[in-house]
Amino acid sequence: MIRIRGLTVTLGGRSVLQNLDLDLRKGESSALVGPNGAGKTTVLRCLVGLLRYEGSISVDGIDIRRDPIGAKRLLGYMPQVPAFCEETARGALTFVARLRGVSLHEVPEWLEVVGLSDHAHRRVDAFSMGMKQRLSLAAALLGSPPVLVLDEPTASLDLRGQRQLVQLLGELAEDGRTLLLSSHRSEEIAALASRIVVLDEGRVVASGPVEEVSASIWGPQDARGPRGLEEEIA
Amino acid sequence: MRVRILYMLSAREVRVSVRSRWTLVGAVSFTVLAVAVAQLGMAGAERWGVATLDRTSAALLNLVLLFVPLLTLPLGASSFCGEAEDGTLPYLVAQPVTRGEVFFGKLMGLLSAMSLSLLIGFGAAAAVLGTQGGVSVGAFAAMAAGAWLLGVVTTTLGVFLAVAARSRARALAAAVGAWLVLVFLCDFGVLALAASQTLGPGALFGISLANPLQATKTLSALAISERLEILGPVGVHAVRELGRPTLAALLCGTLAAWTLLSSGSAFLLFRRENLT
Repeated sequence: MIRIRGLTVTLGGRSVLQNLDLDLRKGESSALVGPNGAGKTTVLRCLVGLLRYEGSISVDGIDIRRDPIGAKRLLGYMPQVPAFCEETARGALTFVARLRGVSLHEVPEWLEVVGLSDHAHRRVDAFSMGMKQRLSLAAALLGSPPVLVLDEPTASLDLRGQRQLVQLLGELAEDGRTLLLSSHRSEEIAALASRIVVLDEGRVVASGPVEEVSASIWGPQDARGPRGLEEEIA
Repeated sequence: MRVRILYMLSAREVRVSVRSRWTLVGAVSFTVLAVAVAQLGMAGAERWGVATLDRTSAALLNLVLLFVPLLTLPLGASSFCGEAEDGTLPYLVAQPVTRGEVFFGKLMGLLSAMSLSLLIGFGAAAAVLGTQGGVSVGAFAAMAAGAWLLGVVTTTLGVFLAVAARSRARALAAAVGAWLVLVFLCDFGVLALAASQTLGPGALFGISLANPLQATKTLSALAISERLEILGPVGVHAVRELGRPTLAALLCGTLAAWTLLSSGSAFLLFRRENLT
């Protein structure tokens, strides 16, 4: 579904990604992990056309540079810090729906899914971070894109917010969507991803199934899966 | 580029500018300014005769030319940088749109917001002055048209500064710097060259033409009055050498060149920009 070859990014004279290859099969959930500055967010930003790069990226066979509209139509993007183009929750989703050419009937449906129907007409800047993240997820889901690109989706949430969002994302992943997320949280990765790609200094240093790779990164104690997260929250 | 997307993005830009009160502030400022300009012109006309109306309007046109760039340069400068910093611009670019659609959609929106502000401002002023009568419609319309043309140039220049500066603070500082250069430093430079007596009136006119403020002022003055002396000696020389139609076309071409150069350069930079 996603094919990245020889991805090289230089920002401000510093090499951020070096000749990175990555493949993501349809319906697969992969997590990019690694220390700060490893290049996780950079990969996602290249994927949605925010950064200049060398190499190639294609989504379902569509090269993102040759046909940015066609490729980005297949992606739902949730940035680390939510951003909205209109004042109210409903307005923000309506704008994105129009931009993506999606039926406006989907707007109340996705607001319902993320539990924000009662807040549809409220101003987004009065929302808690958890509500903003859920609204950002609803915007990413408009048009039901087959690939979700999530940049540290729970990074700025409290434990309750993390649990709600991880549960919601888990349900969405079960629908057969391809998921690519960056994360620092072992619990989130265990709950959402089936595969881990470990980055360090812009290179892939390890990749494989969650159980194998997470044990080598965090040790067996933290490779707990969703139950581990729920226990921690409880 | 898809017209539907351009329309959506430009309409959003207008809404953002209305919400930020920029349109209101701009409209009120232009109204006050336009009424003041016309009232002063009318007062002069009552006291000294109709001829003074044109002269007063031309003199007060300078005030409009000071004010329009002061409002529109920051409008362009803050738009792209502000949204790049709060994450809205990267979010827009991440949607199924091209960078060209985002850039030109936003630019069209900014120009629409500026035009709306001027339309309300000068429209309100025209309504106020229309009830009193005695105002020169031609002079008023020429001033409004000159302000709009200058607004187009300085808004696109502001957008160029925003994309080149890459941060809101730097872009706003550059906008203030550009305003100082256009309004004061260019004139000082021309004065210094004139004082050095090394350049003839033709060369001086060519240099001053490069300043869009000077080009707008001369163009408006040409439209406001048949009397050549309000253009100053260099302007008189240009009219005599080129004739009114050629001079007007040259001035319009200068303003168009400024707009195309600013927006084209800004787009080339924006197309290659990393949005982080």
